[in-house]
Amino acid sequence: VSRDLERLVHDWLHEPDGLPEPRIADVAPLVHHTTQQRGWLPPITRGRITMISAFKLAAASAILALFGGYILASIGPIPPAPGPVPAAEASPASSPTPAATEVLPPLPVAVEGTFHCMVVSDGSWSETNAPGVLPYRYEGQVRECRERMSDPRVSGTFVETYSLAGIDEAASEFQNEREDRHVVFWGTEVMDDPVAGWDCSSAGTSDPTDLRNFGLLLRVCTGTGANAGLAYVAHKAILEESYGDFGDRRAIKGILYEGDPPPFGPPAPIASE
Amino acid sequence: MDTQLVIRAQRGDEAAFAAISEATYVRLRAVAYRILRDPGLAEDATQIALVGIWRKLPRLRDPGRFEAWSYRILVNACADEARRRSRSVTAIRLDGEPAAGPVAPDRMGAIDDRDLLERAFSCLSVEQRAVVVLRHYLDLTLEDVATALGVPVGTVNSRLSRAMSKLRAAMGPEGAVQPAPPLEAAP
Repeated sequence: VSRDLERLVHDWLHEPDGLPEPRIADVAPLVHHTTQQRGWLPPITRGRITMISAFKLAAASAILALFGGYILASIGPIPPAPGPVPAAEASPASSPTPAATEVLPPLPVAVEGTFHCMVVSDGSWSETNAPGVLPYRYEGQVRECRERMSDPRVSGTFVETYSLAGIDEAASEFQNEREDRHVVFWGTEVMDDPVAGWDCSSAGTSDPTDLRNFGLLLRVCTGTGANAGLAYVAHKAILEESYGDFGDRRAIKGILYEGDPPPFGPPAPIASE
Repeated sequence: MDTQLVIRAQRGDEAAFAAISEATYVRLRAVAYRILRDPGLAEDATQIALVGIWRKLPRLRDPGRFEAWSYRILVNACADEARRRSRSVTAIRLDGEPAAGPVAPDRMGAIDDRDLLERAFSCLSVEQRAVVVLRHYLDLTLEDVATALGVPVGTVNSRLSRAMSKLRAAMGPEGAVQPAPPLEAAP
């Protein structure tokens, strides 16, 4: 009976449908006015992946101990934290320094805004089969992000150097999309303004379960120059509508206040391979 | 599908995507029609799906899996169309003329298997219809249906089993086809 029914269904579905002429021409104008989604995660280019060596892992661990924190300690051997921001590669910071006569909001103050990034230089992929370790990683991408914030003290250009490590399985088996990757990412974000700047550390995770919010990271900043003695802590949501050829536009919300930023976590011992 | 075309379209090449649309439109619409059983809804769902495919194309990891991936977007578009139009479709059905077929209730005595099937099929959710169509129209394996819909094989199995059980019940000796519920995607 089941086979008869399957046959009946099969034959019924294969009957001519008699549909009118397809309106294919309608599609092109719709496509022309539709922006493609371009994820913030860099595409996997398998040809460029090299197996990470034990030596590199050891070096990574040593460098990360100076940079990382407990947030990253649990993911196993970690690639090197990005080195100093290559000032020569990034265009000069263009943060508007508050003029002497400008009236600034009293501290503490909540701040919010958006930013728009361009990739200055790509990072590099590596892959490891070490047990228990996040199997793939991308290290050292440099981005220049122009941030428009509600407070001029945190508006301007940040140079981000970030890396990520993640897993690339399970969900992707079904979903087959790049954003299904689960990653942690971390880096430095520097507003290199000689008058008033910021030195920040950041870490976050991707959010592959929500199509409109691909990731969230936390930034913890210490003021430099005229900003010395100030702390700036913010979270940045990476949003779907930000995607375009040019880069990302993400929502930022945070607090600017006098004092020290919260500790990002003590350096943790890194397991060696 | 030519993977080079897909790669070019992923990079924003509208001409490449036009070629993809040309090559896939009729097939996608045929699938949409068999899920929705309404030519107008199928046309709309196809166009919405193609725009969605264009929009999400840069996120497709493996261009070689374009076809299966495109079916998932199409099925989602069908579900959206079904939800959007459920009220009007219900109204049509209350008038005694199902969107899916030409059989009026007062002619039930004369209907054949095909008409019974048409009415029975209209009792399935969009998700169940999609599984039936991908399996028995496109002749995909259960694994390929799972990949296309982005669900585990076990889910495909249970959806297909439930769908066929419903069809079997509706096709029983009493011809116990119930009035079609609103065409709606499962929650």
